[in-house]
Amino acid sequence: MSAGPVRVAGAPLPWQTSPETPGPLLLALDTASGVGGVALCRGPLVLGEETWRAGGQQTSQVLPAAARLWERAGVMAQHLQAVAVGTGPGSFSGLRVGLSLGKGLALALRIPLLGVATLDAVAYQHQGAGTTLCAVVEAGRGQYYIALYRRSRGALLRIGEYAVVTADELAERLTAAGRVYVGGELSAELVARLTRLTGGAVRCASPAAALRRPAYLAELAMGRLSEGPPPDAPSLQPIYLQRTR
Amino acid sequence: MTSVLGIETSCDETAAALVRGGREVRSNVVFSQEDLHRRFGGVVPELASRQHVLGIMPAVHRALAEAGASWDDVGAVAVSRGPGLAGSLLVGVNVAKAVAAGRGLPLVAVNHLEGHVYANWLTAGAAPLFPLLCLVVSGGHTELVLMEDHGKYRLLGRTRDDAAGEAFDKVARILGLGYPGGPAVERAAASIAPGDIPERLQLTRPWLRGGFDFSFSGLKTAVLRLVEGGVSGPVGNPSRLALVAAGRAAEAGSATAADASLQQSETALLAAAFQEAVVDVLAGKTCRAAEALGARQIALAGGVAANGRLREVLSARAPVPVLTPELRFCTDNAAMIAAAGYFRLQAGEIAGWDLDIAPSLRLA
Ligand SMILES: [Zn+2]
Repeated sequence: MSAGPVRVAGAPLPWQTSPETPGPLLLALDTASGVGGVALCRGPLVLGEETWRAGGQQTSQVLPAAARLWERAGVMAQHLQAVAVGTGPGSFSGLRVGLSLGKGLALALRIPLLGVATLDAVAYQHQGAGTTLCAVVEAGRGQYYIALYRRSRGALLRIGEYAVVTADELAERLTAAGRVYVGGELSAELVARLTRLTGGAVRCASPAAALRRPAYLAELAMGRLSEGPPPDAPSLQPIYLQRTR
Repeated sequence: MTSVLGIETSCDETAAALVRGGREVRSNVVFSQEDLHRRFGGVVPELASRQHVLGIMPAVHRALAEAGASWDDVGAVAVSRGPGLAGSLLVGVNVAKAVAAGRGLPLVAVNHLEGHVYANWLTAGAAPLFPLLCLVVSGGHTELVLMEDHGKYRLLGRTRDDAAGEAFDKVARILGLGYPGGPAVERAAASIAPGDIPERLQLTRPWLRGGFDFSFSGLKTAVLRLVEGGVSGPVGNPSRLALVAAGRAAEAGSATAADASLQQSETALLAAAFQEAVVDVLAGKTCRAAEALGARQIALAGGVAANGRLREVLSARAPVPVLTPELRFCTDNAAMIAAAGYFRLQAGEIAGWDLDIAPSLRLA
C-alpha cells in the first residue's frame, strides 16, 4: 500500500554539532486538534513552549500564547526567522488556524514557512520509546488519525500511509505490527480499549508523556530548514484526510 | 494619511486591498471562487475555506504590488470577523492577526456588513452624509440600517427568512438560469418591460404590514408554483410538460428555435415578475424609512446593490439622494473592509491578539 518508508528525521542538525552557531529564531504552531501548542526556539535552544487544551478556541488563544513566548524571551515578532506549522492530519478548522497564522507571519516578515506533518512530529517526540511507533491524533467521533513509524540505524522512518481509523481498526493494525509503542492523543478510554483488544501487547505513553509538545515540531522543522529552502509557502495546505462514514 | 490593508474572506471571495484615508483605493484584489462553486449551485463552505488558505498569500502580495507599496507603507490591518462562514472567516482573521503582529501594526476588526456600507465611501466627491439610511442586500443579508455616525448603527429591519440575494439564487435555480442567481435573473428579465408582465404573473408583495422587516421565501414559492402549474406565455399556453420538455431539449442542445424561444419568453417573464416584486418591496420600505427617520441620504450596499433595476427604481422613488457604490465594490471585496477599518482606527478601536471570528455577528 505504501510507496516505501519515508525518512522523517536522521542526522544531527548543523547547529547541534557546532554550538557556536546560534541558529535561527523559529516559532512553531501546533493546532491540529483540541490540544494547541506553540514553541519558540533559537537553533537547538528551546526558549519556551505552551501546550494546552484549546478546544475550538485556537483563533483567540494561539497568537496570544505565541506573543507571551516572544515577550518572555525578550524578542519581538519582527525578529522571527522562520515559522513552522503542523499540517495534520487533524481537525480541518484547527489546521487552518495554524496555516493562516503561519502564512501571515511568512507574508509580513518574508521568512520561510515550514509544514511538518503533525503525526511525524508525534512520532519524533516518542522515537526513544521503541523501535516500532504509532502516532495518534484524535479525529473525533470515535476515530483517530494514525501512522506507523520505525527507527532504523539512527533514522526515523514512516512505514505506512497517514490513515483515519476506529479504535478497533487501530487495535488490529497494532496487533499486526507486533510490539508497538503508541504516543499522541490517547484518552484513558482509548488506552483501556487498545490494551484489551491487543491482549496487553501494546504499550501506550502515559498521559504526561503522550501530550503533544510543539518543541518537537519546532525541532523537526529546524532540521528541515537546514536541508535547504522549504517549498512554496502560498501553496502549503493541510493534509486533508477524509474520515470514513 | 494612513493606508490600511484590508483582508476579506468571509464567504467565497479571497480579497485583499490597500486603501488610503478610508476613501482612496490604491489596490483592490479579489480572487473569486465562483467557478469552483458553480457546479454545486452555491457556496460549499469546506471548499471555500480550502481555497482561501491557498489564495490568501497571493492576494495580499498582489494588493501590495498593484498599489506599488511596500510593507512600510501599510499603517494598519483591517479584517472582517463576521458575519460569514466560520471556516472562511478564520483564514482571513488569523492571517490578518499574524501580519499585524509580524509588522507591529494595529489590527482592526470590521463587521462585514459595515464593510458593505463603507463601499459608499470609496467614491470620488463628497463623503456620505449622516443620518444615512443603508440598505444592505446580498446573498446572506437583507438589512435596513440607520447610520447616525461612523460606527453608530440602528437596525430598522431585516429579513425574516431568505436574504434577497438568496431568493435570487433560488429562483434562478427554479428557472434553470444558472449561478450566481442575481445577474442571471437580471439578464433574463432584461428584455421584459415592467408593463409587459401580465396580470396573472404579478406576484403578491410581502409587505409584512407595519415594520421594516422583509420576507422573500414566499416569492420564491410563488415562482415555483407558477412553474409547476405550467404558466401560460404570450406565444401559447404550454403545459408544464411542454416547459420541461423545452428545457430538456435546450439542455441537450437539440431544441428547435420555437421551443427555445418559448422557454426563454416564459422564463424571462417569470424572472421579470420576480425581480419587480423584490425591487418593489426593497425600494418601497427603504423610501418609507428614509422619510420616517429623516435620513439625508440613502446608501445602497451589498451584492444585490449591483442589480440595475433596484438602482433605477430606488433612485426614481427616493425622497433623498441615493448613493450606489461602483459595481466592483458592491460584491465582496477588501477595499470596503479597509475603508471601514480606517474609520474604526480613527475612533481608536484596535483589536487584541485574542480577536476571534464572529460568524453570526450583527450590525446593530
Ligand atoms: Zn458580503
